Amino acid sequence: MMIATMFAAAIAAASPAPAPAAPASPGTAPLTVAATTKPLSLEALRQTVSVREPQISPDGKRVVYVRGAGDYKADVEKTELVLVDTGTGVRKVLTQDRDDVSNPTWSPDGTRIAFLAAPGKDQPPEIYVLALDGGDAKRLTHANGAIQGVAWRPDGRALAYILRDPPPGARKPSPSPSPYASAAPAMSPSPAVTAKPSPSPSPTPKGYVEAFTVTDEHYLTRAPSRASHLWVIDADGASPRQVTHGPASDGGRIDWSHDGTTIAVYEQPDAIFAHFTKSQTVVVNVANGSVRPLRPGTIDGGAVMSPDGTRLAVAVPRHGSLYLHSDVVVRRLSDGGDVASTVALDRNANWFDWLDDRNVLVAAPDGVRTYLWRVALDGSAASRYDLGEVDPGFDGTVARDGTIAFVGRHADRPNEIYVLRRSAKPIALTDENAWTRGYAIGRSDRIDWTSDGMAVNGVLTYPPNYTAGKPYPLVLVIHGGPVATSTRDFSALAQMLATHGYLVLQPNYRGSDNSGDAFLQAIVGPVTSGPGRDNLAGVEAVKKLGIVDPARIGVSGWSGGGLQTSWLIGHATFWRAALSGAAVNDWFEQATLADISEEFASVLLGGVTPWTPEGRAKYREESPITYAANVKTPTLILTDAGDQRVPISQSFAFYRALQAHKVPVRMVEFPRNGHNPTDPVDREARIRIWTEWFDKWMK
Amino acid sequence: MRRLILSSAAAASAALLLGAAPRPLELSDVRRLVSYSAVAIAPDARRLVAIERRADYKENRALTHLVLIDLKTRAKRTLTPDRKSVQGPSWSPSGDRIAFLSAGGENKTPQIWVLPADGGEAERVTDAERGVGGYAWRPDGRELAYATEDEAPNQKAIDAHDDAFDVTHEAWTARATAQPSHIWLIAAHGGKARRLTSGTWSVASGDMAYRPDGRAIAFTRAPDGTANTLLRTQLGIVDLATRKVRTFGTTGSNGVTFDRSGRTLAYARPNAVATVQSDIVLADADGSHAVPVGARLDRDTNGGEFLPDGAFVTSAVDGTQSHLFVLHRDGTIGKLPVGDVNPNAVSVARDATIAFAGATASDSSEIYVLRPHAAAPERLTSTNVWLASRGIGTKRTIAWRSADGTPLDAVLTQPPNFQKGKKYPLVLVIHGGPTGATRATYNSLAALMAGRGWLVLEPNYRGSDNHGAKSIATSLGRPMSVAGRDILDVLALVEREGSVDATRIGVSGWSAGGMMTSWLITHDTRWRAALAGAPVTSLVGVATMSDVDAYAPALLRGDPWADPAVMARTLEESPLTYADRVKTPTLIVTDAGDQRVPTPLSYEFYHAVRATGTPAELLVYPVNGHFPSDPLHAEDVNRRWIDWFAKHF
Repeated sequence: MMIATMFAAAIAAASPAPAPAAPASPGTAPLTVAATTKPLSLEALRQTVSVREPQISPDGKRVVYVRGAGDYKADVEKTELVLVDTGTGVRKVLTQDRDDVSNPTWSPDGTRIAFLAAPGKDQPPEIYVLALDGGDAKRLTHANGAIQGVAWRPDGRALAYILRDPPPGARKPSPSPSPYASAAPAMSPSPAVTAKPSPSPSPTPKGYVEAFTVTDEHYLTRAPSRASHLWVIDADGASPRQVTHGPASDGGRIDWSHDGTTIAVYEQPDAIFAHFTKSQTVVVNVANGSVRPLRPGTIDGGAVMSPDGTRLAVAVPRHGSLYLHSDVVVRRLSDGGDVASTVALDRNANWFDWLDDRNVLVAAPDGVRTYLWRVALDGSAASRYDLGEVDPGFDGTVARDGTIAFVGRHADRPNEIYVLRRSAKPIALTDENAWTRGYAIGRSDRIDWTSDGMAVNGVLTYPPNYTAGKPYPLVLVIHGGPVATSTRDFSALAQMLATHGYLVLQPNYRGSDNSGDAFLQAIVGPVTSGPGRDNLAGVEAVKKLGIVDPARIGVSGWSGGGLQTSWLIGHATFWRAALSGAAVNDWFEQATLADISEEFASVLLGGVTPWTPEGRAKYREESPITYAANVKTPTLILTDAGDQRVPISQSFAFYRALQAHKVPVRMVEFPRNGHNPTDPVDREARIRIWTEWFDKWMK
Repeated sequence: MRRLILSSAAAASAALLLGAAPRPLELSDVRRLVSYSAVAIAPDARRLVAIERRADYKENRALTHLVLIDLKTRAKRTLTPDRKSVQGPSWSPSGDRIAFLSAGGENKTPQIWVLPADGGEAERVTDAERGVGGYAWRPDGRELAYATEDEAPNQKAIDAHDDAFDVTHEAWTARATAQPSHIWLIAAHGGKARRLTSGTWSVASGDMAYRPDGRAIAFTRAPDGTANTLLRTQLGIVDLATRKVRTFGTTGSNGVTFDRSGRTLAYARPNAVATVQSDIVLADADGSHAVPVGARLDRDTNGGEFLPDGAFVTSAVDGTQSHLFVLHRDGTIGKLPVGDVNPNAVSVARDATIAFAGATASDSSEIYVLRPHAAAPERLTSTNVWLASRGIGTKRTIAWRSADGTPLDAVLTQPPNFQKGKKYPLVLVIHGGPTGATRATYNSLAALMAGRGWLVLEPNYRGSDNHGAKSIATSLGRPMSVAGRDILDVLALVEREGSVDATRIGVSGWSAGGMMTSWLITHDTRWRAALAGAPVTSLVGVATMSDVDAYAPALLRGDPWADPAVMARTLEESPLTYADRVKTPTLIVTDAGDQRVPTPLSYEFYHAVRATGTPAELLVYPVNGHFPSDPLHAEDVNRRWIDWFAKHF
């Protein structure tokens, strides 16, 4: 189970690529670089392959994973399923010419794999089932709507999935059949829609969306929010039937009970995205669709069922908000009672699963790395796995025999898939990114400092050909979130900056989830000013090493990192250049326009709303726009044109303010929806624009 | 020459009371309305063409056709029956052909088509990749000049999906850097086009005119390719032989035309006291010896054309009616007899016959001609006269003076069968702009509300453009507080007449009218309900991300981002600052992609009003633009506007 980081920057590595399989030894960060290696380039990075969703077969003998590689001509990521034998390392590609492949899921007997794939260009994914003894995959659903998540019933004869409701237009009586009604499977009656005061006098044309009211939706909303519901379909594609109904919206992981009569699923009270913070794990009676909360009156971050089907490991927010620290709590399926928890571990549970009925696995950042812990239900101390130089990503599965398949991270190259058998070392199943061995990769070290009496750390990446005794320009790359962590893992952006001759500091300021709950919680209140001090202290710490050219220090970041960038250039003038990406520049606009609505800002500002004079003053005080007149630093403002998470009005305001004060400023947008460009060409362009901007002002 | 900025398309209405009580106007009636625009009279004054617009509710789109009307017989014929979109018709100088823009045929962007006036199908002349933004006939009729947008310098990269773009004056809705438009020349029968101008500057709105000797083209010159040209343009003139461009005119000048002799040119420029008012300037053909005769007229002018004698005819609103004014270079000003017709843009024939589309209190749109020396215009069409047989209420202009003595007015629409002594609910419908004015002409919303038995009060206020620059200037710097005071004053005046039910007064408006609405509910609690459409709840937001970002500094007398004192005043003049005071149930309405009044301003105000516990709803139209342009959504605005007040009355 992975907890979504709502506000994080995805500025890390470009997607990972298949190459001849050869089990590889865990990577080690080279301290010196062989003379034969080439400098990293954007062109070289195009070879990067993304490996994800490793699903281990029930018997632990095979792993299926999703392999993604950028098609730069079509500007899409090409995806396929790859099957690898955990014993021999022999791999084979399972799918051909399918779009948007995701969610591979083993049938309980290990003979079939269900997965999601788009049946055509720009179509939502449908469920397919592939028999491993040969033949093409069979399309199971014709839902023509957003499907998320697939889970086999333990008897292997049916699957559960979550499907978004059709648009309200499809429910209205209309003389012509709606485009959705005909494509949708037979379904039970949907709840009635409130009638309008004066009905439209004639049928509306295809594609027409009526005006609609919004409440906590974001400022780019173009259609009413729609709930998603749990469905079940026979494994042969017969009888798709809707299980849950009503305004509540289902999501997250689907877990069947052993007898196939109930399903644990994650539910929010309505369809509005922002209200995911009011979600909880519920138990659904499949026969009649009735729903009971696992633990009434609580919220949680999603659950995973124990192998014996009697307990659920649940992510529980320690301070009542899913925007802050979460522990794993084990609860009984029968009555929701607590059995055990990982509170003592004091790490933000980014990923967790069951090792067996007595042990839960937790993966989380710690310092500038990530680790895997085993937590026994008997209350004994958590034990940390020694994985050598491999760090666990937050993506993995466990076989019945306790073999773990996971995405492993490295300091010197993109991710690969690993298996970990009990009490052994991790074994690489893939070597998709072998290409990196021919390139010079900068070293990434941990650096520590103190700020406001707190211990703070960060990642310092050196230029690949770093020579001691020579001063280097420094660029800060600040992570978003703010509840996230910069780890030492391979980052395409940091490596490209290092290749261009910069030291790169990625600070883990307060609010980062790598040092326990108290450190994370320290951001609540001084949401911008506190981290601002931490980051300035980080610059001092690097300067103390005597390796920085103090006249050439730049600052940059995306999202929460853009917020910090805008703040830091309004509070210090030593910066040579700045890049502020998708920045929160005004907490009031963030609160009133974003898809995460008022709650996110309010939680981080310590429960303060902007609806009192004092609250409004506090929002202003912690907003970079308030200090824009102090900025002297040449600044590049970057954003997606359709960013629902960090509304672009904030980028416009900062741009106009800097322009009015005659600061060299440029604003560049990606003509995309979303919080980050996700297409290969724009992802690459972002790295290019980033390095070019600092080269322009700091070289 | 400029149109209303922060206003919707909606205007105002009235009906004559006929003998029998007519049935009240209904939404289904409004579907039948046809509107005329772009009237172009033939040089010989025997015929004219115009664009006729109907709404297709089945396909949910507007249909525009080119119609030809014989001035003698008044016979009307559709020239482009199967084209869905036609714009910008103009006669060739000899009157033997009609050019127009249409996106028909294999090319999806608007291209120039030329239609023989004596029969035969139209032929496409241009094949401009990015469409034609505007064009002009060379005086000998053998060539056309047109404006089209340049290809992006990085077009190859964009085609390869490397499409990040720079923003300068683009609106928040932009998805690409706007490229400049430039002038190209092409033979009137088609062929290969030749580029005439180039540069990072742009020919604004395709606005251009040949000098009568055919050797130069004058045009409106924008500093860049963005649509954000308001108060940022100058004039340019390019010599066709040398291709040299000369720039002239003060900043904000736009819309240049030549008289027939080629000795005089006319253009519009911002008034010195109130830059948001457009004044006509008459000058020598090289731009020298400018006579600011429009400043003497002192009304916000809307386009115009030269008469054969070298005088310039233009339309402008004075009080609550638009008129035709004749401006002479010697500074004298005449007024043409238009009766009760409110003319829009004019077209002039060789014999000085003037044609125009216009509205009256009971007719939304017809085509008229005014012959030389005639005492009144002659109506050529009778398309919407049936409106007079519906109950659309009666309109009355109320003239009064603001607290500081500025002459102002308002239009009051009374329900059909209005009875003195009876109390009626009243809805304020406040015009946008604010540089605009309510006229005593038919408008569907007021007529429908009157049909419900409500009084409809449409106030003009300091900032409206129907009483001259001084009146506007008194509002600059404090546009909200000044106008807000005026609106409350005229409401009090109407209430004193004794027909208003003081417990049922609603307030509403779109755009700047939504801004006034937001202001009034934050400064007064008498309202039963409010509807704020596309409201400017913060002028900072307009200065920051609108496609007319210069408008806010013009209204505020300063750029809030450059001057902390202006920022402080801007916040004082922004309804959002006072949202915690709202006690009125409020419906906020916006398009999802409003480039003019940025959509975020509606969300911010909604959140702030909601936080007070006052009932507030935010209604979103899932379309782009400042007002829904498709028939179904546009109709839905009227329906919900009326339903909202019906629910609260």
